[in-house]
Amino acid sequence: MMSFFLAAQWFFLLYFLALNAVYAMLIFRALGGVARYMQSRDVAGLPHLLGGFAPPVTIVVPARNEEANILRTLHSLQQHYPEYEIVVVNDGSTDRTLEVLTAAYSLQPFPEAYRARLKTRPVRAVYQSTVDARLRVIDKEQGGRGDAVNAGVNIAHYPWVCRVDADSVLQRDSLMLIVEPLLEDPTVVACGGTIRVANGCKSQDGLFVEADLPKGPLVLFQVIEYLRAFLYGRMGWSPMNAHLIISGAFGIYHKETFVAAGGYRSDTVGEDMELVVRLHRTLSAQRKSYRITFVPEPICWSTVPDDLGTLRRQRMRWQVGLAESLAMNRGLMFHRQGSFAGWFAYPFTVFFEWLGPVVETCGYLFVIIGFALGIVSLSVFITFMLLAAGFGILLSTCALLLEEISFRLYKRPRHILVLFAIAVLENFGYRQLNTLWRMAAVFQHLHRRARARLARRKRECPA
Amino acid sequence: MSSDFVSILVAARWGSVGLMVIVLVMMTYILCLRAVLLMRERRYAKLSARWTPILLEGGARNPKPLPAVAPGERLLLLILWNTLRERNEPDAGICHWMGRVAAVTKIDRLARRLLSRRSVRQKLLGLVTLGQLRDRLEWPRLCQLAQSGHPLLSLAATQAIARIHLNWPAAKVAGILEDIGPERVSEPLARALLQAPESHRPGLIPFLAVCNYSTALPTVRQMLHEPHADEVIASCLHVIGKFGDRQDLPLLYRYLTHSRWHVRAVAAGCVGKMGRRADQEKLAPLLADREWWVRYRAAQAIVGLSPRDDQRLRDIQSTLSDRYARDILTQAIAEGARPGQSGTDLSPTGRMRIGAGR
Repeated sequence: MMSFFLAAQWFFLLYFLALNAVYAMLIFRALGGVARYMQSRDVAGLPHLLGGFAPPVTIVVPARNEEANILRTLHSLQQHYPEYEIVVVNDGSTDRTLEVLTAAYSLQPFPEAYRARLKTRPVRAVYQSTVDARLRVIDKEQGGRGDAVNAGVNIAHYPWVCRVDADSVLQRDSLMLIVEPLLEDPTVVACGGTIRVANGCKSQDGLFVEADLPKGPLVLFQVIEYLRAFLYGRMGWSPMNAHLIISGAFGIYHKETFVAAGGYRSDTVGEDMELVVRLHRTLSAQRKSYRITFVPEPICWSTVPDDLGTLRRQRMRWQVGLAESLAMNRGLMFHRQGSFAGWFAYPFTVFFEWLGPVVETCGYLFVIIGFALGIVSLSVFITFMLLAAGFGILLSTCALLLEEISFRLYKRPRHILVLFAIAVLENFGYRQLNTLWRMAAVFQHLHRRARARLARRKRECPA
Repeated sequence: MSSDFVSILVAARWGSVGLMVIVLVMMTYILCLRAVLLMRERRYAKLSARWTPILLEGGARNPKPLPAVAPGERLLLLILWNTLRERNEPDAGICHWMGRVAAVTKIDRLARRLLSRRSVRQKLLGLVTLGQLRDRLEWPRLCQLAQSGHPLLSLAATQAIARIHLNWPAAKVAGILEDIGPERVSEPLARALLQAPESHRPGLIPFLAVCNYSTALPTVRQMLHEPHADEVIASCLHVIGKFGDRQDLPLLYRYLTHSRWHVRAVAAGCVGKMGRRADQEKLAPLLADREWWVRYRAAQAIVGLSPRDDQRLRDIQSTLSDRYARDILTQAIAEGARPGQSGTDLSPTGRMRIGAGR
C-alpha cells in the first residue's frame, strides 16, 4: 500500500512538473511573440503599409435560429476592407431567420450555379440581396455549423474564406487585422483571431465599442480563462506553427486548401479544432510548406455562458470535440513530417488537455484519501494544495502581465484589481468544477465509443 | 517516507512560498506599469490638447508663435505629430505646415537620432517620421536599415525610402507613370520589360496599360510569341484586353484552351470584351470547363456578346448538355439582367490587379 502511494506521489509530482514546464515554455514564447507583434503594430497600424494589398475575402456566416442576432451580426460585418462578400447560410432554421433577412435585405431567389465541391445537406435555394450586392444567402437543410460553412464555401467567389459565427461581435477593422499574417507570409493557409468575452462590454449596432468587465463571478472566471487561452496558449504555440485550433467564432482559411482538405466534418462537435488538426496532418504528410497562424490582437467578441448549466454543457462539448479531433487525426502523433505540431503540440494535448482532467482529479482524490487514511501527512497535503493553487495563480498572473504589456483592454485600475482577485479565487472551486465536467466528458466520450464499437461488431457478426 | 521524498517535499514547500512571492511581485509590477501608463496618458492628453490645434492650423495665414517644447515632451510630440500627419495625409496645406513645425520644434532631429537607438520601436518611429518628412539627410542609414535582417525595420525603412524617393507601392507607381505621360514612359518601360528577368515581368506588365497603344501592344504580342510563365501570359492577355484591338482575337482564341485555368479565364474575359457574336461558339465549350471561374467568365463573355438578346442566349443554353454549363449561363443571364450588377467587378483574373498579393 505504502509503495503504491509512494509511486503515485512520484507520478503526480512528475506530471505536475512536466505540465508546468510546458506552460512556462509557452509563456516565454508568448512574451517574445507579443513583444514582436506590438512592435509591428506600431508600423502596421499606419494604413499606408497595407493599403491595396488586402486579398478579396468571402465572409461565411452559419446561422441557425438566429432571428434575434442576425441583423446585428450583418451590421458588424460592414468592415473597413477593400473587397469582400458575405454569404449567410440559413442552416434549416425553424424560427424567422430567413424572413428577417429577406425583409431587411430585400432578398430575391437567384439562379446561382451551385457546385457542391464539398458535400453538404441539400441546398433549397440561393438568394441575392437587391440592396447590398455583396450579400447572398443560402437556405439549406440543417446539417450543423460545419456543414453550413461548407455550403458557404461552395459558392464563395474569393480565394480566402472567413468564418464568423452569428453571435460574434467584431470591430470595424477585424477583417483587416486577420489578413495581416497572410500578407506577410505567403505560406499561411489559415489564421485565427483572438476571441474575448463580450459579456459586459459596450457595443453599438453589433460593433464593439469599449471593453468592460461583466458583473457575475462565473463570467469573470471565463474572462481570465480566455486571457490565458489566447495570450499564452495560442500565442505560445503559434511561433512553432503548432497551435491546433482556430476558433469557429472567427477564422480565415485559404479556400483551395480548405476544399482540398475536405472542409469541416459534420460528424464531430469540435469541427473547428478537427479541421486544424487535419490540416496539420495532411499538409505535413504532403511535405507542403504551410503555416497556421494566429493574430494576438483581440478582434472578435463572443458571449459566454452566464449560468452553470450552459457552461457545463459547453465545457463538456469542448472536451468531447477535443477528444474526437485527436482521435480522428491520430496519424499526426509522432509523424515523421509532423514537425512541432505532431511531435509536441499533439502529444501535449493528448496527455495534458485530454487526459489532464482525469489525472488532476485522481491527484486531488489521492491526496484527500491519503490524508484521510493518514498515509499523506498534513504538510504534504498543504504543500500540494499550495503548489496547485500557486501555479494556477501564477499562470493567470502571467496572462494578466501579457495583457498589460500589450493590449490593455480593461482600462480602469479597478479592472486590474478585480482580475487579480479572480485570478486567485478561480483556483478554489471553479477550476476543480471545470476539471470534473471535463473528466465526465472524457468518460462519456469513451463510453460512447465503446458502445459504437460494440454496435459495429454486432452488425458485422449478427450471430 | 523516503529521505528523497522528504527533501523534495521541503523543496516543494519552499517552491510554493516562492511562487506566492513571484505572484505578488508580478502583481505589483502590473500595477506599476498601469500607474506609469496613466501618468503618460495624462501627459500626452495635455500635450495633445495644446498641440493639436497648432499642428492642424496649416491653413491659417498668420500662425501664432509655437510654444516651447520641454525635452521630455519631444518624444510625445513626435508621436502626436505622426498620428495627425497620417490622418491628414490628403491635406497638402496641413502636411506642409506640419513639416515646418517639425523643423522648428526639432522633432526631425529627434527622429534622426531615433534611428541609432537600440529599441526597435523607437527606430520604427524614427523611420516612419523621416518617411513622412521626405527627409534625405539620413539616406545612407535608411538604405542600411532597409537591408537589415530585421523584417520590420527593413520594411519600414523601405517604406520610408519609397515615400522619400518615389512612391513604390504599385498602384502609386502607376499613378506616377500616368502623370509623366505615355510619350515619355512607353519606350523605357517596354525596353525594361523585355530585358527584365521572367520573375519580375508579371509585376511590370500591368504598367503597360499606361503606355502608348503603339508601344504596349507590339511588346505584349512579341512576348506572347515566346514561351513564358503562365503569370506572364495572363498579364499580357490583360493588356491586350485593355486595348481591345480585334486584330488580336486569333491570338486570344489560342489561349482559350490553355492548360492553366487562370489563363483560360482571362482569355475568355478578353474575347467577351473584344469579340463578335460569332465568338460565342468558341466560348461555349468553356461553359463546361472543370474550373468554376473559367465557366463563369465564359458565361459572362457570352452574355456580354448578346446583350438584351435573351432568346439567343436561351438558344445557346438549349444546345448545352452539361448541367453545370446550363446553370452557369442561367446565373450570368440573371446577373446581366440585374440593374447595376453586371458581375464584372471581378476577382480571380477578371481585373488587372497592380501589385496585388498572393
